[in-house]
Amino acid sequence: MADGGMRLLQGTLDVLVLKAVAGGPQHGYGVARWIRETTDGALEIEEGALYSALHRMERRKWLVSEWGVSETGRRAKFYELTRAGRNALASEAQSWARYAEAVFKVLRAREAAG
Amino acid sequence: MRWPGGGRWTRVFRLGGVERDLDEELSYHFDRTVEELEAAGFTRAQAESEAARRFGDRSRWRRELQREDRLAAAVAGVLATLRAAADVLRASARTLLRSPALAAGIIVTFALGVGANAVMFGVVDRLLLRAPEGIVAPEEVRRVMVERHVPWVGERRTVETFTYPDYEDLRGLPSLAGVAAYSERNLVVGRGEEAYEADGVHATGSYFRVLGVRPALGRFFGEAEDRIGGERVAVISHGLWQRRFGGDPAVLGRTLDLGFGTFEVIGVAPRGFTGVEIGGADLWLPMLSSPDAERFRESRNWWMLRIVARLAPSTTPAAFEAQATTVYRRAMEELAAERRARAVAAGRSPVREGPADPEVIAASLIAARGPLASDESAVARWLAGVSFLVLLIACANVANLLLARTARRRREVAVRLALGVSRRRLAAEMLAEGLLLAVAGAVAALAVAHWGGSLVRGTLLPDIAWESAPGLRLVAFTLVLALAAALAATMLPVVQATREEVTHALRAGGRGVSGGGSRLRSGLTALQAALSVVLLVGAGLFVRSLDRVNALDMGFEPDGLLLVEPVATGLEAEDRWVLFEAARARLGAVDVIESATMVAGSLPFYSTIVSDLRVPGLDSLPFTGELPAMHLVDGEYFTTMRLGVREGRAIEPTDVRGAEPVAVVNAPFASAVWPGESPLGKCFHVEDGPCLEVVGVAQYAQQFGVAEEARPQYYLPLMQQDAETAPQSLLVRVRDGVAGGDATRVAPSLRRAFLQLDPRLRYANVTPVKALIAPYTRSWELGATVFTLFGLLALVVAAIGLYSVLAYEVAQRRPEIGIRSALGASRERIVRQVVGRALGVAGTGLAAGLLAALVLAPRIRDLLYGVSPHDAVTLTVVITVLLSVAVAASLGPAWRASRVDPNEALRAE
Repeated sequence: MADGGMRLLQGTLDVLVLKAVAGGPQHGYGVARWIRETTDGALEIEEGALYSALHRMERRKWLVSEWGVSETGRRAKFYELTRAGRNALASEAQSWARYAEAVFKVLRAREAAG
Repeated sequence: MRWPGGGRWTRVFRLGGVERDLDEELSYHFDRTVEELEAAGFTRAQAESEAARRFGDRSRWRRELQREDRLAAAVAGVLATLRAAADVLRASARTLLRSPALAAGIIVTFALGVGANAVMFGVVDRLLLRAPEGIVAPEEVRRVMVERHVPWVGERRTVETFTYPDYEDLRGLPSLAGVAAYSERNLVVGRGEEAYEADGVHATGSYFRVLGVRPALGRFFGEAEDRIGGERVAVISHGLWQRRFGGDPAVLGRTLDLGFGTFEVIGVAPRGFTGVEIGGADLWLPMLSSPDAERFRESRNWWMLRIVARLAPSTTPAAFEAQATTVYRRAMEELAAERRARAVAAGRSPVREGPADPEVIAASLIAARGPLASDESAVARWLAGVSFLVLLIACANVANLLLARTARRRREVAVRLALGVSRRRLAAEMLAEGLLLAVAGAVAALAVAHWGGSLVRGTLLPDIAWESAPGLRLVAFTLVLALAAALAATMLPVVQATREEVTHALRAGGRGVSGGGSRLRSGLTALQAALSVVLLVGAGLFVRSLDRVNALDMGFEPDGLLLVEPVATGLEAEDRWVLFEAARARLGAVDVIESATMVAGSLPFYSTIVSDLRVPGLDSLPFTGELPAMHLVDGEYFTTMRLGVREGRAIEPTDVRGAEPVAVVNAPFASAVWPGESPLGKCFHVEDGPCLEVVGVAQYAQQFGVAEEARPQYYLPLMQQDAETAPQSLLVRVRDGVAGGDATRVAPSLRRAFLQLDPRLRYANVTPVKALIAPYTRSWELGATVFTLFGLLALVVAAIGLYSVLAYEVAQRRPEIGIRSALGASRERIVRQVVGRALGVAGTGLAAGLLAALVLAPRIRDLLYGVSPHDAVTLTVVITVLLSVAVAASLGPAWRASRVDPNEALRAE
């Protein structure tokens, strides 16, 4: 596999997927495309891992799925956030922000010293 | 966007569907990716390979997703099932609460039916199923018994008493890992006012090791303590420790004054341990610490031990039996040879001995399973079977009640079916109702078992040490039985209800034609009646047996008679004479006491003493059975016992030493020795004594067992015996009507008066003679009481069943009855019809029940007394009772049927 993008940090995938379905019911393909488009393909994610995350979070009741008809008129499985999923997204996003901020602080501090 | 919902759960239940969904989801993804890439200018082949690359290792992800989905499906499945079950339970609880009377009726029926079984299970479990508490690997431990000629019975029997040398003979057998002997003995602990009685066990040093018990506190004694002159140590039971020492660990080292010595407590047995027997045991002492040890250690005539053996690993009971039989026979032959030689040397006619071919038996540790099972355990076994009939009746009744309700709910069921509720769901709800009722019934049954159990155990089987709390086994049994019964009882109504034809039931308006259900219900009622008949016949047979037994002429009058045995140490024969004379005089002066008599030798229902006899002119004794029982009595004996004299005179106060030596014999003695002649004036020798002139013929006094054949007996004046012979106990007759006829109430004051006579007296055992007889009548009492209880229970339940069937039928047929009375049928005629219907159902049950009873009853022949298993009186009474109850049950519905107003009934249609 050509390593065209950044590797994903552990546990990041879940929050990305949750965010991807936060806008409304979405199928797996849509989730994959949304992530690629939103990050401009900067993150190299195996799509299989994405589906794994979807199914795992469905079992944890963060998502519910139902079969519906897609924009192309085909049968597809749509995922939607549950209340628990929305809460999870909020807390994950918050801890991500804190984490990123902390990392930034460290990085800036090193620049200033150097 | 909204999409038509496919029910999530329906898909989730099929795991094959999980896979199909996954493949559909992934192929959608793959197709869209390829389309997108083609649109961006990729060739089809390039697009496909790019899509595959983006997805990653396809087979690995698919496997992982599949695992995830299966797990999810399983979790969801379980949750859905639980939710559905909760749903069903809620629905059925609502249904039950809508008719609380019905629910209560069913719960009570279950409680009685299951409770009766729980009571009997408790009994049978203790008697037959469980080995005595605390014994390790009980299946290896055997009770040793021997089938042999028993001289004091005169026939071949299985006995479990052995002598100390017998025990020693078995010790070296290679087929045994260990052997122990024990003998029970009533002990008196302490002296005077503080003294109390305790059930003692003399046990060999090997006893605790062979049984494999571990002490709850301290230690047990072993071979080192079990020798003559050894340390005087005692092990007490957990019960005695709690009762007398408040469970204080400082009990170790305390001493117990047992009269023949002071014993130090060295250990406490574990809770529930009662030794090899399931009767109570309070105190264990080393075998050879017994005051008689010097005498029994060498004696082959001192039959007082019971023996238990633990088989060596990988030996069979048969191997042990063979080895032990060889050893035992050799000993018996030596003994017989010695006895013959002695008799010949003394110039006596030798006692006739039975064939010397004893067989040693390795019997079950559980006494009730062995050859010497008590009559009570046989009766208990029957009662357990019978209690199952009660359960069947209960099930039939519950099924009946539920069927009645099903019939009432036909319309509701039909509507629900029409609305698309599945038959499975309906069945599940009905089964859930059964489950709820079963659980409630089981709880109530435990209450019944608790109270009913204490009645059966305390009054009818008092000799067994029962545990106070119901065990886990009993609770589990009750619950399982209640569930099984509920399942059985709900089956018919479920089938009936779910077979319902929707349109048919709706058209019929929930009323009228349900002939099938009604037939089923009367069938069930007839079955209940039949089972009740079986129980009532059993009850009748036992009650009649008990009547016969109680009406038996004992030859003497046991009511109001007390046996007083002094417990004393260091009293010589001469002292005993002085003491007993004083006691008799003192008791004679007490106003509640009519008379008192001093005795030695045989006592009714207590002991049999025999002696060698010689009759002038006869070479050998003509007794076919056992030797005659010898009673040594004073001049008050016959009046105190109220023992009749048929001919001649009784032993009188004037029959003292120096006077003519005399004897009184009973009729079996006389007819065996002097057939066809009057025994008066004849004489016979006891051992080497003078010839005793027969001066009277006594009535037969029951010796052992209430249903026995008359055995030969004779009475000698106690005062004419040699100086060594002293009185052993007193028999005291309480004046009629004193203490409300309860002689036991006089016991404490009697004991006190007695103890003041001599400081060497430690205690006096006072036992009503009635209490000595009670164990012999207990099996009939047990059978009569429990059979009657069960029978009445069954009858009441069957009557309720019959009533409900009739009431339902009358309610259903109101229009028809209305038309009939409009057409001129008289009230009387309508009443006759309903009553006739009741008699029809009851009669069918009666016929079937009588047939079953006639077939079954001969099997309890051995447990009855003086009553034919086909006793006409019993059968007549049962028939009358059942038919009367049927008529009584039908009167209510019949009256209601006769009140039907034709106008109203027709208008309702």
